[in-house]
Amino acid sequence: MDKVNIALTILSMVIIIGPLAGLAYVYRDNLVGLVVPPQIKSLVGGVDSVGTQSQPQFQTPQLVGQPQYNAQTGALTVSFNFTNPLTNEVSIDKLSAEVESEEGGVSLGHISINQPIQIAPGETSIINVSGILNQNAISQFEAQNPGVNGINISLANLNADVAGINVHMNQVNNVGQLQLPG
Amino acid sequence: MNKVGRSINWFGLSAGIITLIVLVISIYVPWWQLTIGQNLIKVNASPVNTNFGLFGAQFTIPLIWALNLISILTFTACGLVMLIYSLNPTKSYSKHLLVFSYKKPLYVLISFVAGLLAIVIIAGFLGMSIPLMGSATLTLPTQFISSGLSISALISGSFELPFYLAIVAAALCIAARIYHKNLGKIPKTAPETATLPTETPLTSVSG
Repeated sequence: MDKVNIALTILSMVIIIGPLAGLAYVYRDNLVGLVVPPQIKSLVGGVDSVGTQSQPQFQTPQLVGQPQYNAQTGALTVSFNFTNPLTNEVSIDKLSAEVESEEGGVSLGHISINQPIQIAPGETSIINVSGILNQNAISQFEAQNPGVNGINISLANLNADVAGINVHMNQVNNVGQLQLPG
Repeated sequence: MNKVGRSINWFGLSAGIITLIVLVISIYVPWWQLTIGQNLIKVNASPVNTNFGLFGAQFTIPLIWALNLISILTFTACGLVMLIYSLNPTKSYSKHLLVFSYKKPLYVLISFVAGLLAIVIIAGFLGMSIPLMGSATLTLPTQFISSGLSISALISGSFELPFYLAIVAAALCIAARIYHKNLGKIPKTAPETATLPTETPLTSVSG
Protein backbone atom coordinates (compact mmCIF):
# COMPACT_ATOMS: atom_id res chain seq x y z
CA MET A 1 0.00 0.00 0.00
CA ASP A 2 2.76 2.39 -0.91
CA LYS A 3 0.30 4.47 -2.90
CA VAL A 4 -1.69 5.29 0.23
CA ASN A 5 1.49 6.17 2.07
CA ILE A 6 2.68 8.39 -0.76
CA ALA A 7 -0.71 10.08 -1.02
CA LEU A 8 -0.78 10.81 2.71
CA THR A 9 2.77 12.15 2.64
CA ILE A 10 1.88 14.46 -0.24
CA LEU A 11 -1.25 15.57 1.63
CA SER A 12 0.84 16.40 4.70
CA MET A 13 3.25 18.44 2.62
CA VAL A 14 0.50 20.29 0.81
CA ILE A 15 -1.22 21.10 4.11
CA ILE A 16 1.94 22.64 5.53
CA ILE A 17 3.56 24.18 2.48
CA GLY A 18 0.40 25.41 0.75
CA PRO A 19 -0.70 28.10 3.22
CA LEU A 20 2.85 29.29 3.92
CA ALA A 21 3.72 29.50 0.23
CA GLY A 22 0.45 31.28 -0.52
CA LEU A 23 1.04 33.79 2.23
CA ALA A 24 4.63 34.38 1.18
CA TYR A 25 3.39 35.04 -2.37
CA VAL A 26 0.70 37.48 -1.24
CA TYR A 27 3.15 39.36 0.98
CA ARG A 28 6.13 39.04 -1.33
CA ASP A 29 6.46 42.83 -1.55
CA ASN A 30 5.91 43.41 2.15
CA LEU A 31 7.46 40.61 4.20
CA VAL A 32 7.27 42.70 7.39
CA GLY A 33 3.51 42.65 6.94
CA LEU A 34 3.58 38.93 7.65
CA VAL A 35 4.11 39.59 11.33
CA VAL A 36 3.18 43.26 11.73
CA PRO A 37 -0.43 43.95 10.75
CA PRO A 38 -1.57 47.48 9.83
CA GLN A 39 -3.29 47.84 13.21
CA ILE A 40 0.00 47.44 15.05
CA LYS A 41 1.75 49.78 12.62
CA SER A 42 -0.79 52.50 13.17
CA LEU A 43 -0.65 51.99 16.92
CA VAL A 44 3.08 52.53 16.89
CA GLY A 45 3.13 55.24 14.25
CA GLY A 46 -0.20 56.89 14.96
CA VAL A 47 -1.21 57.06 11.30
CA ASP A 48 -1.66 54.46 8.61
CA SER A 49 -0.31 54.34 5.09
CA VAL A 50 -2.95 56.71 3.72
CA GLY A 51 -2.37 59.22 6.44
CA THR A 52 -5.51 58.72 8.46
CA GLN A 53 -5.47 57.93 12.12
CA SER A 54 -6.90 54.45 12.26
CA GLN A 55 -6.20 53.44 15.85
CA PRO A 56 -7.66 55.13 18.89
CA GLN A 57 -5.23 57.41 20.64
CA PHE A 58 -5.56 57.74 24.38
CA GLN A 59 -4.81 61.13 25.85
CA THR A 60 -4.39 61.82 29.50
CA PRO A 61 -7.32 63.74 31.04
CA GLN A 62 -6.88 67.49 30.65
CA LEU A 63 -7.60 69.98 33.41
CA VAL A 64 -10.52 72.27 32.62
CA GLY A 65 -10.40 75.83 33.94
CA GLN A 66 -9.62 76.73 37.51
CA PRO A 67 -10.57 74.61 40.52
CA GLN A 68 -13.88 75.64 42.05
CA TYR A 69 -13.41 76.35 45.73
CA ASN A 70 -16.00 77.45 48.29
CA ALA A 71 -14.13 78.99 51.21
CA GLN A 72 -17.19 78.80 53.47
CA THR A 73 -17.79 75.07 53.10
CA GLY A 74 -14.28 74.03 52.06
CA ALA A 75 -15.73 72.23 49.01
CA LEU A 76 -13.27 71.88 46.15
CA THR A 77 -14.03 70.63 42.65
CA VAL A 78 -11.36 69.98 40.04
CA SER A 79 -12.65 69.29 36.52
CA PHE A 80 -10.99 67.10 33.92
CA ASN A 81 -11.82 66.68 30.28
CA PHE A 82 -11.55 63.11 28.96
CA THR A 83 -12.28 61.77 25.48
CA ASN A 84 -13.05 58.11 24.94
CA PRO A 85 -11.32 57.22 21.66
CA LEU A 86 -12.56 53.63 21.66
CA THR A 87 -15.39 51.98 19.84
CA ASN A 88 -16.79 50.65 23.10
CA GLU A 89 -17.92 52.33 26.30
CA VAL A 90 -15.28 53.18 28.87
CA SER A 91 -15.92 53.23 32.59
CA ILE A 92 -13.98 55.39 35.01
CA ASP A 93 -14.53 53.53 38.23
CA LYS A 94 -12.16 55.44 40.45
CA LEU A 95 -10.40 58.78 40.39
CA SER A 96 -8.90 60.23 43.52
CA ALA A 97 -6.00 62.41 44.61
CA GLU A 98 -4.51 64.28 47.52
CA VAL A 99 -4.61 68.07 47.27
CA GLU A 100 -1.40 69.83 48.27
CA SER A 101 -0.19 73.38 48.25
CA GLU A 102 2.62 73.91 45.77
CA GLU A 103 4.37 76.12 48.27
CA GLY A 104 5.56 73.90 51.09
CA GLY A 105 3.62 70.81 50.02
CA VAL A 106 1.02 71.18 52.77
CA SER A 107 -1.65 68.49 52.54
CA LEU A 108 -5.01 70.22 52.20
CA GLY A 109 -7.42 67.37 51.69
CA HIS A 110 -8.64 64.57 49.45
CA ILE A 111 -10.80 64.65 46.33
CA SER A 112 -12.48 61.84 44.42
CA ILE A 113 -15.38 61.08 42.09
CA ASN A 114 -18.63 60.15 43.80
CA GLN A 115 -19.64 57.33 41.48
CA PRO A 116 -18.34 55.52 38.41
CA ILE A 117 -18.61 57.47 35.17
CA GLN A 118 -19.50 55.85 31.84
CA ILE A 119 -18.24 57.53 28.69
CA ALA A 120 -19.75 56.50 25.37
CA PRO A 121 -17.53 55.73 22.35
CA GLY A 122 -16.01 58.88 20.91
CA GLU A 123 -17.65 61.06 23.52
CA THR A 124 -15.86 63.75 25.52
CA SER A 125 -16.94 64.08 29.10
CA ILE A 126 -16.19 66.47 31.94
CA ILE A 127 -15.19 64.61 35.07
CA ASN A 128 -15.71 66.52 38.28
CA VAL A 129 -13.50 65.36 41.11
CA SER A 130 -14.52 66.90 44.41
CA GLY A 131 -13.99 66.82 48.14
CA ILE A 132 -13.92 68.90 51.28
CA LEU A 133 -10.62 70.50 52.18
CA ASN A 134 -9.28 70.53 55.70
CA GLN A 135 -10.02 74.01 57.11
CA ASN A 136 -7.30 73.67 59.72
CA ALA A 137 -4.74 72.97 56.99
CA ILE A 138 -5.97 76.04 55.06
CA SER A 139 -5.69 78.18 58.18
CA GLN A 140 -2.23 76.80 58.84
CA PHE A 141 -1.17 77.66 55.30
CA GLU A 142 -2.54 81.19 55.69
CA ALA A 143 -0.66 81.59 58.95
CA GLN A 144 2.57 80.40 57.33
CA ASN A 145 2.06 82.64 54.30
CA PRO A 146 0.54 85.89 55.54
CA GLY A 147 -0.86 88.24 52.96
CA VAL A 148 -1.42 85.68 50.18
CA ASN A 149 -4.86 85.72 48.57
CA GLY A 150 -4.67 82.31 46.97
CA ILE A 151 -3.10 78.87 47.21
CA ASN A 152 -1.52 77.28 44.17
CA ILE A 153 -2.37 73.63 44.41
CA SER A 154 -1.05 70.40 43.00
CA LEU A 155 -2.36 66.87 43.15
CA ALA A 156 -0.39 64.06 44.70
CA ASN A 157 -0.91 60.31 44.49
CA LEU A 158 -3.49 60.56 41.75
CA ASN A 159 -5.10 57.17 41.23
CA ALA A 160 -7.43 56.44 38.36
CA ASP A 161 -9.13 53.24 37.28
CA VAL A 162 -10.02 53.66 33.61
CA ALA A 163 -11.55 50.64 31.89
CA GLY A 164 -9.81 48.34 34.32
CA ILE A 165 -6.41 49.99 33.88
CA ASN A 166 -5.02 51.49 37.09
CA VAL A 167 -2.96 54.61 36.58
CA HIS A 168 -0.97 56.14 39.41
CA MET A 169 0.74 59.51 39.14
CA ASN A 170 2.96 60.72 41.92
CA GLN A 171 2.38 64.40 41.18
CA VAL A 172 0.28 66.65 38.96
CA ASN A 173 1.52 70.24 39.18
CA ASN A 174 -0.10 73.57 38.25
CA VAL A 175 -3.64 72.43 38.89
CA GLY A 176 -4.77 75.98 39.66
CA GLN A 177 -5.28 78.45 42.44
CA LEU A 178 -7.73 78.46 45.33
CA GLN A 179 -8.99 81.93 46.04
CA LEU A 180 -8.87 82.71 49.73
CA PRO A 181 -11.34 85.16 51.25
CA GLY A 182 -9.79 88.60 51.61
CA MET B 1 -24.99 -15.61 6.12
CA ASN B 2 -22.20 -13.90 7.97
CA LYS B 3 -23.44 -12.85 11.43
CA VAL B 4 -20.11 -11.60 12.64
CA GLY B 5 -20.16 -7.76 13.04
CA ARG B 6 -17.84 -5.58 11.04
CA SER B 7 -14.79 -4.69 13.14
CA ILE B 8 -14.64 -1.04 14.04
CA ASN B 9 -12.06 0.82 16.04
CA TRP B 10 -14.44 2.62 18.36
CA PHE B 11 -11.68 4.69 19.93
CA GLY B 12 -10.68 5.85 16.49
CA LEU B 13 -14.26 6.58 15.52
CA SER B 14 -14.73 8.67 18.66
CA ALA B 15 -11.40 10.39 18.10
CA GLY B 16 -12.32 11.28 14.51
CA ILE B 17 -15.70 12.67 15.49
CA ILE B 18 -14.35 14.67 18.43
CA THR B 19 -11.47 15.99 16.34
CA LEU B 20 -13.95 17.37 13.83
CA ILE B 21 -16.11 18.76 16.64
CA VAL B 22 -13.05 20.46 18.15
CA LEU B 23 -12.31 21.96 14.75
CA VAL B 24 -15.79 23.44 14.34
CA ILE B 25 -16.05 24.77 17.91
CA SER B 26 -12.54 26.22 17.79
CA ILE B 27 -13.49 28.47 14.91
CA TYR B 28 -15.87 30.29 17.27
CA VAL B 29 -14.46 29.64 20.75
CA PRO B 30 -10.76 30.08 21.57
CA TRP B 31 -8.74 27.46 23.39
CA TRP B 32 -7.25 30.09 25.63
CA GLN B 33 -8.33 33.63 26.32
CA LEU B 34 -6.43 36.49 27.88
CA THR B 35 -8.16 39.70 28.92
CA ILE B 36 -6.54 42.89 30.16
CA GLY B 37 -8.67 45.54 31.83
CA GLN B 38 -12.29 45.82 30.74
CA ASN B 39 -11.66 44.06 27.41
CA LEU B 40 -9.21 46.78 26.40
CA ILE B 41 -6.79 44.13 25.25
CA LYS B 42 -7.98 40.66 24.42
CA VAL B 43 -6.17 37.63 23.06
CA ASN B 44 -8.23 34.75 21.68
CA ALA B 45 -5.76 31.97 21.04
CA SER B 46 -6.28 28.62 19.42
CA PRO B 47 -4.46 26.66 16.74
CA VAL B 48 -7.50 27.18 14.52
CA ASN B 49 -8.35 30.83 15.07
CA THR B 50 -6.10 33.27 16.87
CA ASN B 51 -7.05 36.92 16.96
CA PHE B 52 -6.38 39.97 19.03
CA GLY B 53 -8.59 42.73 20.36
CA LEU B 54 -6.88 46.04 20.91
CA PHE B 55 -8.99 48.92 22.22
CA GLY B 56 -12.08 47.42 20.65
CA ALA B 57 -10.52 46.68 17.24
CA GLN B 58 -10.11 43.05 16.17
CA PHE B 59 -7.18 41.92 14.08
CA THR B 60 -4.98 38.94 13.38
CA ILE B 61 -1.37 38.51 12.34
CA PRO B 62 -1.02 37.10 8.79
CA LEU B 63 1.65 34.56 9.73
CA ILE B 64 -0.49 33.28 12.59
CA TRP B 65 -3.46 33.19 10.22
CA ALA B 66 -1.45 30.90 7.90
CA LEU B 67 -0.50 28.66 10.82
CA ASN B 68 -4.18 28.58 11.80
CA LEU B 69 -5.06 27.52 8.26
CA ILE B 70 -2.48 24.72 8.49
CA SER B 71 -4.12 23.59 11.73
CA ILE B 72 -7.59 23.70 10.18
CA LEU B 73 -6.44 21.54 7.26
CA THR B 74 -4.54 19.23 9.61
CA PHE B 75 -7.54 18.76 11.89
CA THR B 76 -9.84 18.21 8.93
CA ALA B 77 -7.56 15.65 7.28
CA CYS B 78 -6.80 13.96 10.58
CA GLY B 79 -10.46 13.70 11.56
CA LEU B 80 -11.61 12.40 8.19
CA VAL B 81 -8.73 9.94 7.78
CA MET B 82 -9.26 8.69 11.33
CA LEU B 83 -12.95 8.12 10.53
CA ILE B 84 -12.10 6.21 7.35
CA TYR B 85 -9.55 4.12 9.24
CA SER B 86 -11.91 3.43 12.14
CA LEU B 87 -14.58 1.98 9.85
CA ASN B 88 -12.01 -0.22 8.06
CA PRO B 89 -9.33 -0.94 10.65
CA THR B 90 -8.35 -4.36 9.34
CA LYS B 91 -7.73 -3.41 5.73
CA SER B 92 -4.22 -3.61 4.44
CA TYR B 93 -3.93 0.17 4.07
CA SER B 94 -5.47 0.95 7.47
CA LYS B 95 -2.20 1.13 9.33
CA HIS B 96 -1.06 3.94 7.03
CA LEU B 97 -4.22 5.89 7.71
CA LEU B 98 -3.86 5.42 11.46
CA VAL B 99 -0.20 6.44 11.49
CA PHE B 100 -1.07 9.53 9.46
CA SER B 101 -3.83 10.68 11.77
CA TYR B 102 -3.32 9.55 15.35
CA LYS B 103 -0.34 11.75 16.29
CA LYS B 104 -1.48 15.03 14.78
CA PRO B 105 -3.96 16.22 17.46
CA LEU B 106 -1.33 15.50 20.10
CA TYR B 107 1.32 17.43 18.15
CA VAL B 108 -1.04 20.39 17.69
CA LEU B 109 -1.91 20.32 21.39
CA ILE B 110 1.73 20.15 22.49
CA SER B 111 2.71 22.92 20.07
CA PHE B 112 -0.07 25.14 21.36
CA VAL B 113 0.83 24.64 25.03
CA ALA B 114 4.53 25.11 24.24
CA GLY B 115 3.72 28.37 22.45
CA LEU B 116 1.74 29.64 25.44
CA LEU B 117 4.51 28.69 27.84
CA ALA B 118 7.05 30.46 25.64
CA ILE B 119 4.95 33.64 25.72
CA VAL B 120 4.61 33.45 29.50
CA ILE B 121 8.35 32.89 29.95
CA ILE B 122 9.28 35.74 27.58
CA ALA B 123 6.83 38.05 29.39
CA GLY B 124 8.43 36.97 32.65
CA PHE B 125 11.84 38.03 31.37
CA LEU B 126 10.33 41.45 30.59
CA GLY B 127 9.07 41.68 34.14
CA MET B 128 5.43 40.96 33.35
CA SER B 129 3.46 38.15 34.90
CA ILE B 130 0.88 36.58 32.60
CA PRO B 131 -1.38 33.99 34.22
CA LEU B 132 -2.27 30.99 32.06
CA MET B 133 -5.22 30.37 34.36
CA GLY B 134 -6.70 32.80 36.86
CA SER B 135 -6.10 36.48 37.46
CA ALA B 136 -3.15 38.63 38.35
CA THR B 137 -2.19 42.27 38.39
CA LEU B 138 0.04 43.22 35.50
CA THR B 139 2.31 46.19 36.17
CA LEU B 140 4.09 47.80 33.25
CA PRO B 141 7.85 47.75 33.83
CA THR B 142 9.20 51.18 34.73
CA GLN B 143 11.50 51.27 31.69
CA PHE B 144 8.44 51.49 29.43
CA ILE B 145 6.85 54.52 31.13
CA SER B 146 7.93 57.92 32.40
CA SER B 147 9.01 58.37 35.98
CA GLY B 148 6.36 59.27 38.52
CA LEU B 149 3.82 57.20 36.64
CA SER B 150 2.82 53.61 37.12
CA ILE B 151 0.26 51.63 35.15
CA SER B 152 -1.22 48.34 36.21
CA ALA B 153 -4.20 46.30 35.14
CA LEU B 154 -6.08 43.21 36.07
CA ILE B 155 -5.14 40.45 33.66
CA SER B 156 -6.95 37.15 33.50
CA GLY B 157 -6.34 34.03 31.47
CA SER B 158 -8.44 30.93 31.08
CA PHE B 159 -8.57 27.76 29.06
CA GLU B 160 -11.87 27.22 27.31
CA LEU B 161 -13.93 24.14 26.38
CA PRO B 162 -12.27 23.36 23.01
CA PHE B 163 -8.88 23.03 24.72
CA TYR B 164 -10.19 20.29 26.99
CA LEU B 165 -11.98 18.65 24.07
CA ALA B 166 -8.70 18.66 22.16
CA ILE B 167 -7.05 16.83 25.05
CA VAL B 168 -9.83 14.23 24.87
CA ALA B 169 -9.40 13.94 21.10
CA ALA B 170 -5.63 13.49 21.43
CA ALA B 171 -6.10 10.87 24.14
CA LEU B 172 -8.64 8.98 22.05
CA CYS B 173 -6.27 9.04 19.08
CA ILE B 174 -3.57 7.43 21.23
CA ALA B 175 -6.13 4.93 22.53
CA ALA B 176 -7.10 4.13 18.93
CA ARG B 177 -3.46 3.40 18.14
CA ILE B 178 -3.17 1.08 21.15
CA TYR B 179 -6.49 -0.61 20.38
CA HIS B 180 -5.37 -1.19 16.82
CA LYS B 181 -2.90 -3.80 18.12
CA ASN B 182 -5.83 -5.75 19.56
CA LEU B 183 -7.70 -5.55 16.29
CA GLY B 184 -4.71 -7.14 14.61
CA LYS B 185 -5.07 -10.14 16.92
CA ILE B 186 -8.65 -10.94 15.88
CA PRO B 187 -8.55 -14.43 14.36
CA LYS B 188 -9.54 -14.41 10.74
CA THR B 189 -11.20 -17.80 11.21
CA ALA B 190 -13.90 -16.36 13.46
CA PRO B 191 -16.68 -16.52 10.79
CA GLU B 192 -16.00 -20.21 10.32
CA THR B 193 -16.55 -20.98 14.03
CA ALA B 194 -19.87 -19.17 13.88
CA THR B 195 -21.13 -21.56 11.18
CA LEU B 196 -20.36 -24.71 13.07
CA PRO B 197 -23.15 -27.29 13.09
CA THR B 198 -25.47 -26.93 16.07
CA GLU B 199 -24.85 -30.50 17.20
CA THR B 200 -21.16 -29.85 17.67
CA PRO B 201 -20.42 -29.72 21.43
CA LEU B 202 -19.45 -26.26 22.71
CA THR B 203 -16.51 -27.72 24.57
CA SER B 204 -14.93 -28.74 21.33
CA VAL B 205 -15.09 -25.14 20.07
CA SER B 206 -13.66 -23.60 23.17
CA GLY B 207 -11.20 -26.33 23.81
